[in-house]
This record gives sequence, structure tokens and C-alpha cells, in this order.
Amino acid sequence: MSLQHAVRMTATLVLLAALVAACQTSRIDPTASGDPVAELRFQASGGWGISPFSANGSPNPVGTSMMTFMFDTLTWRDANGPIPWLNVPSDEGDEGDGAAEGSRRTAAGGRVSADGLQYRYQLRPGVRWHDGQPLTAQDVVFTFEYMKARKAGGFSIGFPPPGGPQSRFIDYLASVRVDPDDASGQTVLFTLHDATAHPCASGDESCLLGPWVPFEDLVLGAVPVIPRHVWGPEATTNCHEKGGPGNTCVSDPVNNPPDRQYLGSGPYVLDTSTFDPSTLVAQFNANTDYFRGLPHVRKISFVPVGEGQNLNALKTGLIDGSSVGGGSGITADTLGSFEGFVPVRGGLADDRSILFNLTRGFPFDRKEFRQAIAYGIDRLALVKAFVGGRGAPGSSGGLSPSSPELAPDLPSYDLDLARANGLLDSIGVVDSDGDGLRNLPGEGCGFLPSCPEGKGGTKLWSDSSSQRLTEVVVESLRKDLRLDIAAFSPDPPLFTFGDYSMGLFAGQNLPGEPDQLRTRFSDRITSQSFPGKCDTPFGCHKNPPVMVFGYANPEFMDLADQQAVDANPVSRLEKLHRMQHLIAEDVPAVSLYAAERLFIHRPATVPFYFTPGGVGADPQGGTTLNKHVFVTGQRTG
Amino acid sequence: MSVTEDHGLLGGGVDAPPADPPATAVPHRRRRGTRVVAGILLRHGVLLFALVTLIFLLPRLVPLDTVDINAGGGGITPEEKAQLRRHYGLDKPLVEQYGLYLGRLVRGDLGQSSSMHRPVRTMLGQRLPWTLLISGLALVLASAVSYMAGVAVAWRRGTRRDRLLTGTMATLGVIPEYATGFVLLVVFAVLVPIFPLSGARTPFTDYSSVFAEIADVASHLALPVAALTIALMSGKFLLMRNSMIAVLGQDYMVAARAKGLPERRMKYRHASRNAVLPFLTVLGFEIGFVVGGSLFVESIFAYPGVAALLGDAFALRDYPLIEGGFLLLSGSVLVANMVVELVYARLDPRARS
Repeated sequence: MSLQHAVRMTATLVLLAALVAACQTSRIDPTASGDPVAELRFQASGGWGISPFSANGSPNPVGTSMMTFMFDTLTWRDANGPIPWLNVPSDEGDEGDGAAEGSRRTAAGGRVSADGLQYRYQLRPGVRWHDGQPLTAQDVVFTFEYMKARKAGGFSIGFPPPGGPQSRFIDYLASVRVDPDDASGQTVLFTLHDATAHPCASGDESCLLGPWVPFEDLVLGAVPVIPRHVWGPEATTNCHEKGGPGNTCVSDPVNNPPDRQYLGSGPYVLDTSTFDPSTLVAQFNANTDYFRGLPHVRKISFVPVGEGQNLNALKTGLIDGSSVGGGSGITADTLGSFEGFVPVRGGLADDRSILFNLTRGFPFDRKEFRQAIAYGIDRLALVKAFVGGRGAPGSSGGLSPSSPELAPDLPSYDLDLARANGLLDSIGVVDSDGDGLRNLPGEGCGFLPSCPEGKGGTKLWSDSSSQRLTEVVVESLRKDLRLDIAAFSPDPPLFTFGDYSMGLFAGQNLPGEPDQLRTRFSDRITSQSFPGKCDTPFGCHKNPPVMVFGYANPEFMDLADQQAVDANPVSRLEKLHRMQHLIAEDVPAVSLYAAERLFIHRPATVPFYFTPGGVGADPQGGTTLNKHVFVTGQRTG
Repeated sequence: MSVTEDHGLLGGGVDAPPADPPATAVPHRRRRGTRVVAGILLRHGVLLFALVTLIFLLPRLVPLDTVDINAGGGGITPEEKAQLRRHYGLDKPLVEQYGLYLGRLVRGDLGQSSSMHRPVRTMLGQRLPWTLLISGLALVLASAVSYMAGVAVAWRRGTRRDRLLTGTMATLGVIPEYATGFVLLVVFAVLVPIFPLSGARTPFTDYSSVFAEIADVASHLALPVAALTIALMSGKFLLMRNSMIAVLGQDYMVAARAKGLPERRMKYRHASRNAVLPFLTVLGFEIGFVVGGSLFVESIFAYPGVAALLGDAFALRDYPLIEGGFLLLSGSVLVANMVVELVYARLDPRARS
């Protein structure tokens, strides 16, 4: 046998051995339903960290999910909506006086008083922190007092900006205390602000007419409970930095040792020896002392996967589940090529919308102009071009097309160029200088040296991630409606300061809590953080920062304020429907498309599901990593 | 031994070496060499200072500071902004900020990441070895292969092997490293899975021995290094080949051939040593490109290097981390260029003069 032949033979044998080895490395055997799962693996994704002090409000849903594995919230969500978690369902416990006074049971099993001001939750017995200490009502009280203290100006260095929903909405909480009527001392009483404590942006008058209805879902289901014995005033050990908000030791939490930072009560415990905080490569082991029993999935690992390599990682068995990017062109129907995988649909959520700043005057404050923009864009073509057909044109009512509260019979604003041009003519948006384009107000680029080419007409602002879409939309508006408009995608995206006439933004029509219609559109919206002051050199900005400016339809604003305090689901839904019809008529925003979120998973592991409205502090719900399914192995319960 | 002295081996032909310098000329030449080295060090010192100043000034020249960018859109009160500005020292006069910045740099303090809340120095320190490993190895491999191949085909220029290799290299040169990386990944990690798909090591593994760990790291290294090496090889190969061809036409090479010197000696001792000077110059500049290329490669292979970290920093608008990363990378390029200049001065007497 020649040397060359020998080398070839050896190479072939090595190749075969590698193939056999690869086939044998599959960690997940097809298990019968109900059998515990030894390990699940997912893609790690770097970001703001995974401690409750850094992950909240993070743009990284994976990091936020990791945090929820270690830390529990009072209530939670399964496939059907809010559920009790740390609390005892009210019909099992809660012997307080609330029931006698006509209180009602909440969606997540607490009790709310008849006037909607007091929420009462009895903690489950036997809940322990990872270090074996019991989780008490004092821990819950400490957590929420800390949140309030931080919000009230005790901003602590080392935290990200308090931009997460739970920090915005903590404003609605007046006080939290251990219920003095409960002898066990394990019941927590939350008192919300009444109507007088909701100042409007436009003045001192009250906007909300009562306590805020989504409190349980968006605050109690999102704030991770942190241990008082680690972070509270009595934690003298290692508390070298007194002076944190609320007399705590939490002045620089993210630089504390991992055994303190990640000490929670959740179903999984971080293996700190293998944790890489910059890549978030991490391994979580089941909490053997968990109050709901040993979790169904014993170990969850997050491994490095290269950009755009999710599907390859699935095929090679590196991970057991992944999201499928909208730009991949893969739909739930075409996933057949991934034999053995199960698609999970996440609804129409990844939205791109054009928002108008109505405070900029003519023509942006004219609904005919905004309607013309809506009629003048071929949104079906955008769905095909930008999400490979996996999506739909956005709803004209301001909510996701997948939202359970979506109003029926909303106008669809299908492409109608004749109508669009007629509307522009009717309000006098015409070509007055003979350059072939309808004149629009000029708009500078602030201090930026690079301005888009053109005659200085209106600009459609966007962040760099939507640059191509912005260019396509602008091209069609210039060609079909002959509008003098240019695309502008500066980096950093300065539009966060409201310095735009028209902006193209992502993540507007989310499928979560419908009160977002008020917070995104109503001109009255304010919070303690954003009293509507114009304190930046770029004009006014409010909370949330990217929003419609100047939409002041009185009927809409009244309905918006009413629905936020309407505890009756039926009448609240009616108001929400009417609000959507008003938005559809006034068009303060044009939703271009909503992409369908899609996930694929290895079957026979756990019954993965997409949680409507997201989980924990992830309002966009961009994940199927709901700890509920890993703990119980079920979709509900 | 200098290049000119090498030519002296040819025995007094064209470019014959000068006569041995008188004894008094040796200290003079040494002094001149010291001055040249000092000049190079001084020039790069000034450049480093300018670089540090630029990195300090750039983010402060735009009206939005790091607090505005990172916190302005997230719902933060003016009081909280002021507190953050105090924390970052942005409330102080610019000159005082600069002084503090230099002081921190001297102490090796690059500040705190605004997105990950960890010291920038620690983060870069954890990632740098991986980037050095991947880019250093790729640079060495690409240099070695392109040098050897360039010399070899130039020596036999016009042959079929020359045409084939030159054509292949020219083709590879226009393929971006991420495309090469993607092809390698699909072929050798998915279709024929002989190498791992991602990462720098198998996560959560307890190695039985140091050798097992080295083997694991090496297997993870193979594809990203191959992608980067292929991307780096082409330009250097073509440069080396052309430079070598130019040298081979020199009179002293004709003379060397006429003297009957062994081919290996002519090729590597006389021709390639003279042809390598432009190659070295490019090598110095290329360190910056290697880091740029490793950004894509690290991203595709989820390799935990500095470039991937900087990619995350850009996405999260983490200005302290971006500044620290830039300082590290541009400082590395500066140091590499300085080393190349020093080597160049050593090899080429014209540079010394």
C-alpha cells in the first residue's frame, strides 16, 4: 500500500469516526411525555447581565429570562395568562377581611378590594431562598419599597436606566406592607394611588379616575423579589456601601460577588463557576428545594452560537430550541425541512411603524396627510420584501393584529394611490416650486454633519436597524406621492428625544397589555419620571420616549384614562375597541407590517409555548423561555 | 548582518559592500542607530498621546454625552441624569476630565462598562487572549504560507503552478472573511461535523488533562483561524510574489546565479531577504485589518474575543467599553507598527540613514 493510499484511508476512517461520534453526542433522548428532562440547551446572548439589578428593562430577552430562572415574582404567566406563583390562590388561602367586604379575586389569585385600591396576596408556605433562608412577606415588602425608593430619586449607580415596565409602573403603587390582619404575617398588602395621585402632562388635574387596573400583571408579575437578608439594612455582612435607596445595601449591586448577586428563590440556581458575564454562557441547575417540587427540566444551559447560526446549531444538536429570524424567509409551513422539529408560533409582533409628531404643525397635524401616507405605501409588498411573507400589514388601530383586544372592522388602508394623491391635493400639499415634488416643511439634521441628499424637505427618521426599510418607504413616497421626503438613519438614534416630524420605529404594536394604547398615543400620558418638561436641547420628550407626539383627540384621551381604571373586562374591551377605531381614523401612526414570531424546538422534551404578552420584565415577549414550562413540564397549571 | 553585507557575499559584483569601516566609525554608527531607535520611539510616543487625546475628545465633542445616549431615552429624571454625570465625572471642566482620564489610564483604569456594569479593563483582559490567539495565529500562518508560496512561485514564475496559485489567491482575495467562514462552518461543522460549530471551547467541560483542554481549544480554533488565514493570505502572497520577481531581475541575482550559488541560498538568503521589506511594511499595517476581520469571524463562530465584545458594545452603545476597546486595538496597531519600523530599520540600512 502506497503512502498516499494509507493517508487517504486514515483520513476516511477519521472522518467516519467523527461522524459516528457526532451521531452519539445527542443529549436528548426522545422521552415519553411527563418524564423529566435531563438538560436543555439554548443560545447564549450577551447583554445587560442577568441579575435583577441589571437585566430588568434589558433589550436582551434571553438575559431577562435567565434572571427569571433564578428569581421569582409574586405572580406569573402561563399559556393562558396570569397565574399565582409565590402566592397562594385566594380561594385556598386569604382568610383576611377582603372577601367579606366584597373584594374580588384577581386573575393571578390575589384579592383586590371593591374600590380597586388594595391588593392582598398570601405567600405560599415553604418558599426558601437558595441559601435555605425562608422567603417572607418582609422580603416582598423590602423589594417593592426598594423599587419605589429607587424611582423616587434614589437612583443607584450600577443600574441601567429604570426604563423597564416595572420601574415605570411602580409609580402607581402608593405603599406596600405586611398585612396586619393576617396572624401568619405572610400576607402582603399593596395599596395603589387613588385618582388624585395621577397628574397629567398638561397640568395638575388628575387623568386617571382611579387605581390602575393592569397593576397585578405588569408590576407584581414583573418585579423579581430580592432577599432582604442579603440586600436589606440588617445585612451588615459585606454591606460596605451603605446609602443605597431605601436604606439598603444595594448601592452597587452588580459589582457584588456572584453568590450574592444571583441569590434568588427561583427554580434554578446559577452555576457561578462556569458563568461568563460578558457572553452570558451559563448553566442553571434545578433548585432541589424548590417549593413547587424538583423542576421538570433538571438543567438549562446557554451555549455560544454564532450570529445567524441558530438553525445550524439546532441541526447539529448544539441547542434544543431557537427563534427563527424574520429575514430568514422560513415560515411555519416551510419548517418541514427541519424534520423532527416543532414550530411554535409567537403571533404577529415585530412591528415597524411610522409615527408622526403632530406638534410640528402642517401638514403633520392634518389627518388627511397621515391617511395619505397610509394609503400611499404598499404594505403587502413590504411584508414580502422584509419578512419573507411571514407577517401581515399592521393593524390601523394601534395594537398588534394578534392582540386578543384587537377591534373588529378596522379600516385596512390598502394601497390606493389615487385616493392618497387626492387627499394630499385636498389639503394643499402641492408642488409649489416646480421641482416635481410636493413641498414639505424643511427639516435639518440637528448638529449632525451628514444630512441626506435632497432639497432639505422632511426626513423620515429611523435607527440604523431600519435603514433599508426607511429607504424603500421613502423611495415609494417620492415616486408614488411625489413627496419631498428623505430617509435619515443617524447613529446614535437621536429620535429618542422627539426631534422628528416622522419617524420609523420598531416595537410599537406589541401584543401585550392594551393600556399601551394610552401610554403610546395619549397626549396626557405622564409619569413621575417624565412630567412633560422640555429639559433637553432637542425639545420635549416623554415616557416612553419613542411615541406619537401631540395626538390630543379628547374622546381618545378620555377613553384611554377610563379603560386604565376599568376593572370590568367587558366594558374595558368596549373602550379599547373604540380607541382603536379613533386611532384608525386619525392615523397618528402607520403600522407598516407585523412579522410573525416563530420558534422551533426539539420535540419530546417539554411542551414549549409562546406566552402572550411576554413574561416577567420582557414586555415584548420575544421568547419561549418561560420557566413555568421548565418547572411543570406543562402548558398550564 | 545587513542586506548590504549580504550582497558582499557575491564577491565584489554590483552592489558590493563598502569596505570595512574604520574603528572610529563603529561607535558613530551605533550612536546613529540609537538616534534612529529613539526617533521611532518618540514619534510613536507622540502618536500614542494624540490617539489617547482623540479617543478622549471624540465622544465629548458631540452634544449628547454617554448619559444622554444611554439613559436619555429610557425614562430618567434630570436628578438621576445629574447623578450619573457626577458618577462619570462629566460634570467637571473638560481639562480636569482630561487630567483625570490620563491619571486613570496610567493606573490602567479604563472605566466601567455602562451596559454590563463591569470594569472595562477586566472585560477586555478576559477577551484579549482569545483575539490574540485567533488573529496572531492567523497572521503567522498567513504570513508563513504567503511568504513561502510567494517565493516559490516567483522563482518558477510563468509555470502552470504559478498561474494556478496566483489565480486562486486572487480569487480568494475578493471573498470576504465572513463568507469564507460561513462556507467552512457549513462544510466542516454541519455537513461533515469534524469541527465544533462555535465557541472557543466546549462549554461546561471538565477536562481530564491539560492535553485534552489544548486539543479542545485547538479544535475550536481551526475553522475561525482558517477563515481568517485565507482572507489574509491573498494580498500578502501577491505582494511577496511581485516583490520577489522584481528582486530576481536585479543584477546581483544574475551575478549570484553566474557564480553557481546553490538555488536554496539564492532564493532565501539573497532574493527573498530583499523582497521581504515591503512584505514587512504591509504586515505592520495589517494588524489593524486582522482585528477588523476577526470581528466578523468571531461573530460567526461566537468566538469570545475583543472584536465580538466591541460588536456588542456598539449594539448597546456602551461608550466606555468602545473607548477602552479602541484604545487597546489602536494602541496595539501602533505598537505593531513601531516594531515593524524597528525591524525595518535593522534590515534596511537606508531606513537607518
